[in-house]
Amino acid sequence: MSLQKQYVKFHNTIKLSRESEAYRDAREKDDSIYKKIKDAFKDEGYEIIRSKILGSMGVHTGIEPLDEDHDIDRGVFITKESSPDNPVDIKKVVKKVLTDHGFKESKIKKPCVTADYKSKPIHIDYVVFREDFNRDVELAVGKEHSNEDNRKWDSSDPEGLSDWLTWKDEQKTSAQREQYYRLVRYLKRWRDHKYSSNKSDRKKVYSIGLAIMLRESMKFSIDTSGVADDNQALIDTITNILDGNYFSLQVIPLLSGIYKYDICVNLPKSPYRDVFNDHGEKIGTTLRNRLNSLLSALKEIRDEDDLNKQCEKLRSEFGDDFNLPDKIEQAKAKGPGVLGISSGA
Amino acid sequence: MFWVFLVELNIQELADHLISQTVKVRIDKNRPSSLISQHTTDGLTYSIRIDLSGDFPWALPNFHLVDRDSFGSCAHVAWGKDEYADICIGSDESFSTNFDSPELVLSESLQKAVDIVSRSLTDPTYNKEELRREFVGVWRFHAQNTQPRGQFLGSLPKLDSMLSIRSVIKGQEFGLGSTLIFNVSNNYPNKNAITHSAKSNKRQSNGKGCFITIVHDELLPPPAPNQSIKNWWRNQLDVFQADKQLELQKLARQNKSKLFYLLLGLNIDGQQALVGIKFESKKRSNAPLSTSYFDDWSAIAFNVDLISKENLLPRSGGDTELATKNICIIGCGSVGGFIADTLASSGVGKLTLCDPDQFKPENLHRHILPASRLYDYKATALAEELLWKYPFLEAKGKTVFLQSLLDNDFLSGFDAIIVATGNVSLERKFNRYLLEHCIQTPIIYTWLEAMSVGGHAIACQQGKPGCLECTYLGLDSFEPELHNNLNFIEAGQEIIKSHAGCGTEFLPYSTVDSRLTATLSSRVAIKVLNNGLQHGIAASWRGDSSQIKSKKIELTHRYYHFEKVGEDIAIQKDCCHACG
Repeated sequence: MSLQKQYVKFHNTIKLSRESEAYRDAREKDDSIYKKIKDAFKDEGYEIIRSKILGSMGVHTGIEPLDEDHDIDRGVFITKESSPDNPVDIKKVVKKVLTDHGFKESKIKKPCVTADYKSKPIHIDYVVFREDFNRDVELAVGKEHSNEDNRKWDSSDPEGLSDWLTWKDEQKTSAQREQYYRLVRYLKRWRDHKYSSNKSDRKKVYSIGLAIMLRESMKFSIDTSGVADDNQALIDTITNILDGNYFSLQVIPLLSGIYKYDICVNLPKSPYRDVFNDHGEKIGTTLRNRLNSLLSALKEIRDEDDLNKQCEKLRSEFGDDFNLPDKIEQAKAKGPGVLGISSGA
Repeated sequence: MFWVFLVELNIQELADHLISQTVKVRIDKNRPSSLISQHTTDGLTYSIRIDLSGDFPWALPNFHLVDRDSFGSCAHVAWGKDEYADICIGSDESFSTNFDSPELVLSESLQKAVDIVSRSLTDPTYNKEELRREFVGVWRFHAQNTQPRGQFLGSLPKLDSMLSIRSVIKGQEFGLGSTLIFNVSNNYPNKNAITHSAKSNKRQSNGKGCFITIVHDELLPPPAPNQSIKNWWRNQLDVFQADKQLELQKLARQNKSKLFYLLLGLNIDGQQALVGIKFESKKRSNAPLSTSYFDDWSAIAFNVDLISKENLLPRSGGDTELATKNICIIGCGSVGGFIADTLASSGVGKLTLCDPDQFKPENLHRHILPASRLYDYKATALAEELLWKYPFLEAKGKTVFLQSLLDNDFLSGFDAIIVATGNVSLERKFNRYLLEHCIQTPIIYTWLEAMSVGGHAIACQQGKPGCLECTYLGLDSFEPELHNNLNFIEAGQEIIKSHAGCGTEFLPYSTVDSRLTATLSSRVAIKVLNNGLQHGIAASWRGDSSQIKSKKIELTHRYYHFEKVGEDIAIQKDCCHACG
């Protein structure tokens, strides 16, 4: 039993995908709501081009939340010709569908329409985009009662961001991509565990911010045969994050001898904004300190020979879902029952 | 004219260069593209004619010892008609020549010729040993091209003995039918081309003959340039010990004929060799095995090839240690067919070939079987073709499915089993059977991947760490999966093509891919046969990915980072439930 195997077991425990059984309710809700939105848009004359699963479910980095709701993140793309001039108009249609469908606290936020399901722990975010002939995409921005200055169709590239987060056309092997997805999931669960006593701050350590930092700082650790070493990849990548330009020392507190950090992580695609724009100063210092602690722990784990001790330390970083090693079980082939082959003789 | 002028100019420049190196040299008056150099060693003076052909300096000059006959036996110096007295400094293929500096090519190659001649002329012990070492080569100069070669089938007898001789096949100037056959026995199987020809009823009994062994210490140097073969044989007879002479005299008295073939078995540097003398007499005379019966006979030399496992396997690249090995190949498709041929060629003694399929037209361009075998069963046809091709092989074909081979006694009877079915599920089932029944025969599994991406072979043995199941453990999951973790193509992608719908599916790969995979597997198999297995191993070859990338097929991390070209890697995984 190797440490890597324990990492992978942990990953399989926390991993949440759209196909997961645990996500079934959310998936079914999403499917039925989207069907109603399609009907509602059709009635209003909004021509849907396509829709896309956004958020972590769309980029293979979803995790089982700790005491929180399952998220539904969906983007609906309509033609520019059929779109209303006022982006809030179409968001109101979405809000009505959600309200009629049994969601509570349906609200039009600046970038999305959001709601919580009444009887189940499901949170939904719907985003509306419009696309022109050149495939330029704009996001419907504006709250329900925003004035004209605060509502607009704003340039956005959600699919470019998804492609970037999934290393599309980046000449990366599946072993490398999978390692990246695992690292994002590890770090998201680490955040949930470490911030479990302060949910307000936890919500401000945005998953997209972690995913972008990991993506930009990623140092793969996979041997030539394809066997991964996630512990080493975490050490190298977190080192790169801490050595990078994301955290900046704030000058004024420093004058009083206090080390405080702001954090700035820019979206790599349009609209290129800082994802921590409003909260960087609030969370930067703690996040940096906690990442430093995690890095020290990971290095100790690397230098520790006893697998039990390694797992115990990782448990304190990632929570109880990181299991202690158990005995070898009689294994059966996992995955599909039948797999197409690419070999012969 | 201009070209001639250039050549003449160069010859003079080359001569000048040699002169600057203190070599006495001049242009040959009778041959404008030749030089004559003069050398003295230990008071003995000789000349070398240096022929600079039109290919010089791309090819080395030819060096000839002038007045060859006056130097007698001289190792590494040939003789023959038209002053042919080539000094053998090695073939052009043995050297990389600096053709931008022809003068250096000339002076340095001349020095090699001078060294050879000087040492042969001044060091009699060296000269004698070298002449013995190249005995068969010198004999070749005496053998007349008009005489047929002979083939001696089987190992050389330990004792001197009489021989049966079969004539050449009338009208055949080339090929197997053009050789005399010595020592053919009815016991030889006629399934291979050599014995089939040897036993042809178009051959006839052809005079009498005798095989005589000459031990190293009694062997005279080969005949000198002007020495007759008859004279050399007379001298050789005199060297034999008295009891051997008496025995030969007895044989001479007992055998009379007009045509007598004498085969001389030699042992040179531990290698067996054979040369022949053909004696002819106008009347029936006692065999020329004693100087008492020499008068009526004339004698000429001829060449004989020794067709025996011990002699030919090492000389033709085979491995004599493999001659006792018994291998089973399950799957005689493209890869299995080439493996069978490679192993037979390498000297493996016994092959059992198993495959239930027939050889179909769609197999033709990636299978070793010829078109004449279409619609035959692959296993039996392959066995017959290999038997025909390799005279020392035992091979049999079994037209059976792998499932019917699941028999402990059968599988335990081989030194190794090679599985090349291309059927992943079947091979895993086979592996489980071996594990469950504790069958300890080493197994080599081999397969290739589509579109020239690569091929793999693994070798494993029950009880040794590392097995087929280890290679089906997911590199991420550490759990058994359906995809081999050595593969270069990512799992679950559509690769199989079909000609015409159901039942015509095929994996796109070429005969080159099959041959590379077969070579790889054969190397692994031979290593296992010769050295045994300490643990399970794998070897791979990696090909070009442009074709497969154009189809948007994704490749594995191992493909991009593969660096163990030509090396084996251990396949054991600690988490393997089968062997871990």
